[in-house]
Amino acid sequence: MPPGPGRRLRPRALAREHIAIEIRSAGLSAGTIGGARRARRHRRRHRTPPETPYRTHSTAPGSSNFSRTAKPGVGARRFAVFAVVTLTLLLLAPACLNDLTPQGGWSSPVLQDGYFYVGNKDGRVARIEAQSGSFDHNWRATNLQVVSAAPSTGFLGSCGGVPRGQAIYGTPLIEDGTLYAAGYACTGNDCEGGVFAVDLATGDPVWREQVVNISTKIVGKLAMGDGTLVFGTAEVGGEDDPPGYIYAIDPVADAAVGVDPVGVRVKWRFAADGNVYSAPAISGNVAYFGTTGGSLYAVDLADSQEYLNRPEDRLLWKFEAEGAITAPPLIEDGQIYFGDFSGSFYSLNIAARSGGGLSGTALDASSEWKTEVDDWVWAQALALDGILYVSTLGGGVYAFDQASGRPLWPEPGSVEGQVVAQPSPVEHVRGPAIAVPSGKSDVYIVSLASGEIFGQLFTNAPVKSKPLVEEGFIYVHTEGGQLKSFSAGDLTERSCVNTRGGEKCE
Amino acid sequence: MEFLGILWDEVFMRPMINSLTLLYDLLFDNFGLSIIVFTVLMRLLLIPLQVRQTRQTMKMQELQPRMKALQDKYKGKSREERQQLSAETMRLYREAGVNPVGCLGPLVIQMPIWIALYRAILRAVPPTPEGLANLSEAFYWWNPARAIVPLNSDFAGMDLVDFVQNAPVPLNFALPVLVGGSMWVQQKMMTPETSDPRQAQTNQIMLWMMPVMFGFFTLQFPAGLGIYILFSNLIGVAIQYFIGGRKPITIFGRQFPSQGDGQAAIEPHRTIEPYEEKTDDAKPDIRRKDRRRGHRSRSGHAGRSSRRRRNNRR
Repeated sequence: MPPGPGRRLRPRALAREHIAIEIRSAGLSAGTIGGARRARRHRRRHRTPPETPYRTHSTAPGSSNFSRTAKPGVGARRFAVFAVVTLTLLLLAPACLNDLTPQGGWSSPVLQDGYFYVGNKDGRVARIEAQSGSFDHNWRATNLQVVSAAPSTGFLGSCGGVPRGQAIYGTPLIEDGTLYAAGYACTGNDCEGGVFAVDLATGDPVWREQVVNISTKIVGKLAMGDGTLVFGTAEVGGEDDPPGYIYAIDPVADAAVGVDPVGVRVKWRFAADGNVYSAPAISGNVAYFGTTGGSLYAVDLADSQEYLNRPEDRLLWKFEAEGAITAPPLIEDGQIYFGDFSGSFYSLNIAARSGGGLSGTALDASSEWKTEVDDWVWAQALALDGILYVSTLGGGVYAFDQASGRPLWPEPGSVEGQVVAQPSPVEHVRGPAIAVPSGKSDVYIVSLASGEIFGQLFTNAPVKSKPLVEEGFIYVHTEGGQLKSFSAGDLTERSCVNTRGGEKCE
Repeated sequence: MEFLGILWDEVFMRPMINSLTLLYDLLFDNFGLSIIVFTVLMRLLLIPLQVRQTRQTMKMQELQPRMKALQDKYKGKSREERQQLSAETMRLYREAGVNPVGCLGPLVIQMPIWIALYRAILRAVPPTPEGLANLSEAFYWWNPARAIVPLNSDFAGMDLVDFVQNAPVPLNFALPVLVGGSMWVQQKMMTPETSDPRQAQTNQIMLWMMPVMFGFFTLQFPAGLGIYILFSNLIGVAIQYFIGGRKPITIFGRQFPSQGDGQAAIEPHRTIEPYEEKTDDAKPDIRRKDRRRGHRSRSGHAGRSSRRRRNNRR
C-alpha cells in the first residue's frame, strides 16, 4: 500500500515502501534499487535520519516526490555497465569450455610382464603393478609427456592462453621390449602431437630426441609393420590441404648431434583425404586405414626407392565409403571389416581389391558385402568364430555372419550410450558374452547367443576404451582416468586406481 | 542443473546444429553459406522485436521537445530542481511507454543466440574426437546431413571453427573491424536522439563501447560466429532503414544514402508538440494525442496552426 497523506511510517519501513513503489513504477529498476539501497546503507552506517522526502509523503504516488532517487542518466549508465559486464562474461565463458580440449581417457590398458600400461589424460603413460594395483612412480616414463610445451596463441588463444588438455587416446604399443605411445595437446585450435618410445623395463626414452613432435592431432593407436612405426594424423600445422596423413617413422634410426632428429626419424608421409583418427590395420606389408573423408586406403609400407620422391605412389587401392570412417579396420581371413558414419558396415576382399579391378564405391558381389546399422560406427568390430559383432554410437550391438553379412540375432542388442571402443569377449556364468563399453557409463555384458544383457560393470563413468579380460578379471580404463578391475564372475568391483596420480579411488 | 542442460540442448543447441547442418547439406556443402542463410532466418524471426524497438525509438524522439521544455523549466542546479527534473522525465517516459535503455533490447535478446551459436558451431564441426562422437547424439533422425559429417568448415579463406585471430591476414583484422563498424551503424540508427545530457552521455557510451568490445571479442570467436554477427548487423541495418522510415543516417558528417542516390529520404510523419505543463489532475494522454497527431499529419499543417491557437488561448 503506498503511503498517503497523514499516514506516518517509521523511517526504514517507509524507505522499504518507497523502494517498492519505485520498482513498480520506474522503468529503471536496477539503478533505482541500487540508489535506494545505498541510501539505506548510508543511513544505517551514519545513524542519520532519512531525508525529508522519506519522512513526509504528502503527495500522491506518481508525483515527483516518489521518484527522487530515480536519475535516468545514472540508472541507465548502471544498466549499461551491468549489461556490458554480463555480456562479456557470457560471451567469454564458452571459450573456457571443453569444446576445444582433448580429453583423452580412451586408451585401453595393456598387460605385459605383470604390469598394466595405459595412456592417461595427462599425456603420459602410467605403469601399474597388476598384482597390487599400485602405481609405479619409479618407472621413469611416468614423467615423460607426449608434448613438452603445448602451443600457445597468446591471451586470446583459449581461456587465457593456458594449454587445456594433453591426452593420449591410443592404446600403447609394445614391441620387442619397447613401448610406443602417441597423443596430442591443444591450445585453442593449435595442436601439437607427440610420439615417443621408452624402454619397457626402465621407462627411459629410447630416442635421443625423446619425443617426435608434429603439429597435428594424433588420435589412433600406433601400428608396427615391417619395422616401420605407422600412425594417422589430422592436418599438419597451418597447411590447408591435405586434411590428414599417414606417417611412417623409423623407430631405430638416430640422428647425429646437430642434425634435425625429426627429419631423420620420419621416413615418409602419405597424404589422405581426411583426418585419420583410427589406427591403421597392417597385414603383410600393407597398411589399411580409413579417413573422415570417407575413404579406406591400402598403402604399401615397403622401403622401396621408387617411392622415395613420390609417396603417393604407395597407394595400392582406395575404397570410397558412404560416410566418414573413424573405426579401425579389422582384418580377418583376407577380408577387411569396418563401418562408417552413414550407418553402413562393409566387408571388403583384399585379394579382389589388390587385383585392381575394383575402385571407388563398387563392391565385388561374390566376395564383398555391405549391411546397415542404426547409427555411426566408431568402434572396431570383433570377430569370433565366424561371427562379427558390431557396435554403434547409438548403442546398438549387432551380430552378422562373417561370410554373408546376414544378421544373426532377431533384434540387435542395445546398451545405453555410445560405443566407441571394441568389445572384449568374456566368459559369464550364464554363457559366453562380450563386454561392451558404454560412452555414457558402465560396461555391459551382452550375450553372444542372443544380444541379451547379462549384467553390467558399474564404473559410474563413461568408458571409451576396450576392456581388458585377463584371468577372471575385467580391467576397465574409464574416461575419467581410473583403472578399475571387476570380477568376471559376479561383476563386482575389486580395485580402482587413478592413472594420473596413482592414488586409490575414493 | 541437469534439467537446465537438457533444456538448453533441446531448445537451443539441437535445433541450431540441425539447422546449420541441414542448410550445409542444401547449400552445396558450404558452411559459410549455411551460417549466412541461418542468420537471415534468425533476423526474420526477430523482425517483430525490431519493429517494436523502432517504434520505441521514434516515440522517444517525439518526446524530445517536451524533454527539452522540462530541462528549460528545471534548469537550476539545486538538488531539488534536479530531482524534480528526474521525476518529471521518468514520468514522461512512463506515460509514453518508453524505456530509455530499450535500444539494448535486441542485443540482449540475441545474446543467448550468440552463445548457443558459438557452441553450435564448435559442436557441428567438432575439433576433438569426443566432440565428433557426441555429434551423432545431436542429430535428429530425419536429418540427411548426419551422413555427410564431418563438415568442411573452410569459407573465404578462413576456417570458420578456428578463432578469428588465427585467420589469415588481413581477414583476422578485417572481420573484427567490420563487426564493430556494422554494430556501430546499427546502434546509431537505433539509438534515439535525446536532449537529456545524461541520457545522451549514456547513449554515447553504449554507441561506442559495444562495437569496440564486440570488435575485440570477435578475435576470440570462431570465425563462423563473427560471420553471423556481421551479417546479422548488416541485415539489422537494412531492416532498421526500412521500418524506421528510410531515414538517412549521418556518419561523420555525411548522409547515407545521400539524397542523390535515387532514393529520396522520407522524413517520417510526425509533428513536434510544444511542452505543456500538466497538473496532476490533468495528465497528458499520450495515446490519445498520438492518434490525433496521426490524423492531423495526413491533413498537412492545419493541425499545427490550430494547436498554436489553442496554446495562445491558454
